[in-house]
Amino acid sequence: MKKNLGRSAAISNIGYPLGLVVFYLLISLFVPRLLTLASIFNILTQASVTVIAAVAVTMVIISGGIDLSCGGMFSLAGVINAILVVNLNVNPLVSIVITLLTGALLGGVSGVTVARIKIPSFIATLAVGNLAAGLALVFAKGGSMAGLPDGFKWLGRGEILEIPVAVYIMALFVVVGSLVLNKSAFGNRLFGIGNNVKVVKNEGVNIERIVILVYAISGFCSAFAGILLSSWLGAAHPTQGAQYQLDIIAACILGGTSMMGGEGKILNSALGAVIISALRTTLNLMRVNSYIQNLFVGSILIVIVALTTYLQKKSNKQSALF
Amino acid sequence: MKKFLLSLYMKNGAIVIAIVLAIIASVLVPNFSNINNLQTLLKQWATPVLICVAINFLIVTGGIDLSAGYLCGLVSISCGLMLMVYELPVSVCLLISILIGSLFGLFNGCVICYLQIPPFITTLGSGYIAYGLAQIISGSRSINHLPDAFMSLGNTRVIGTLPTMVFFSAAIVALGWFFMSRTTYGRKLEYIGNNEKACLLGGINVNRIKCISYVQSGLLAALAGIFLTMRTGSAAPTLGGAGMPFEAVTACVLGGSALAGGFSPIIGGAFGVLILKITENCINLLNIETYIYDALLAIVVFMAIVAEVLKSRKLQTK
Repeated sequence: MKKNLGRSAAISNIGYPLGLVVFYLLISLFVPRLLTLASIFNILTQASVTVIAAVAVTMVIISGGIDLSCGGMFSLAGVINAILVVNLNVNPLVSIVITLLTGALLGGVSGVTVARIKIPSFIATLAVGNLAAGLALVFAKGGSMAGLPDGFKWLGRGEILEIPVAVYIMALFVVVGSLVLNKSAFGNRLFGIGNNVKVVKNEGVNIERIVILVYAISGFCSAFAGILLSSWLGAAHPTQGAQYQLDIIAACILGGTSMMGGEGKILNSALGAVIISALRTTLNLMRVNSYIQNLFVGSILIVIVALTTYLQKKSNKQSALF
Repeated sequence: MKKFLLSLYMKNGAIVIAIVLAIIASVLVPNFSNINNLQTLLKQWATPVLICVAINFLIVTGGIDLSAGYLCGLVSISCGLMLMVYELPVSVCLLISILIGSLFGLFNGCVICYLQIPPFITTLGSGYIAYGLAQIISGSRSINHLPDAFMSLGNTRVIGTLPTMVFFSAAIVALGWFFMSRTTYGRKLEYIGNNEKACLLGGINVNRIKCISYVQSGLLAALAGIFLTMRTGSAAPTLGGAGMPFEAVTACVLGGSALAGGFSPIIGGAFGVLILKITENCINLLNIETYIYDALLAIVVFMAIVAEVLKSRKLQTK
């Protein structure tokens, strides 16, 4: 029933990126402004937060799990960082490191729950996400935290060679993520676990360690995205992450990541995130309110999952015939 | 004695905790044992317990319904619109509301069972669809001054001063218990949760049974939406919300449900909701910031997970 490692007849290597670019051009037919360099950078900056989280969530989905804790993690990371920098006067670099470690630790907690205790990943990460969201509110005492230093805001608002810093960071995450996923033994085993756990287990691989690591990576990336978000917004809001969960999952799915596990590409997920960001920007320009935007994104989510699942089933049937 | 207490706890943990918690609260928290407060407590219990019953039937097969909270809002606002704008009779309005919920559940169920899409993805997406629809049809406004004929259905006081909706909810918990443990439908769900492949091989129509449980979830979410509207006195698209399913999962866990599926006691879940509501009530009475409650829910789930591990370790060593 499961496919060969990382291969599917339905989705070719070039098809997805090309399709997504065409889709973007189609949207820009309605809003010509989308094709100017300024608005492309604007969309990319907005997308960067989603992309960074989606890089890691793609890995989690490939391993056959899901991470629903990103939203809560965004909020908590922003708040922890703000407390360290503003209230405790910690050097921003040190506080970023501490925040990232906290994120990785919380991700590791979901990893242990999923790998060792065998709790379904959506429940474990939902719990971790709610814990993070709750802690964010408790730490921030319910209000948003302003007063971040300018040097820190540079991360989300600065430019190098007229290209936003956030775009460089996003590109870095995509490249490193793709390398880890496609060129390392760790990535190889992730595909293996998603496709057929038993085979990987028989090879003598410590599956628990890999699964825990992938959730820790996800926590790390979400924490980074949360820091970037608060830097871009100029303040840490204890509920800043809530709206991103849907976009992250939708981005992965739009990028053709298989919900059954064992199949997915980080670059495609990143492009998916850009498309969603473009869609939201377009709808914003058309003055559509955010609830209705969510309705759009939610519908896209279901339709695309249904479509890819259907295509995969079809291609599996064909390969079974021959 | 120790053994007896332990077995009592294992079987009826949630009931014991609820009683102990209530006793502690009535001693330590001023105004807790006030009759008015206890009524409020039961009224607050009446809505989430419906979602909890629904989620119980889902996590027994390893499913979830993240859209239940948003569906409450959609049903609430459509109820309000039908009553106030289209001026339909109350009975018709209730019927249509429940129909909306069931159809929405049917949609979830069909996508999950027949297209084989993971339940958390489907319901995450469909939840936002429900929320968006609710916002569109209401124009982001709430509707007040609902007719008395509607309000009195849930708020009429019987047997002392308890409102009818509490009894309705209790009846649904009893019905849920009956369906779960005394009918083939419930048994089949438990079997599916334990070993889905064996059920398929054994000739159980797994997809249909699971699909029915999602329709049931939609129906109960609709009822919860109606009760919530009756309790708050206004129909609003923001009633319910994303936190509701998680609260229900927490309650199920407190009631002794296995998070990995296969076993889900309904009565335990109902007392799980009671535990959560007593806690929330005390947090309110003591004037502690309410967002502590959210963090508390997650901590409870984690403690339950740890407890589950310890339990399974004990079984293994035996």
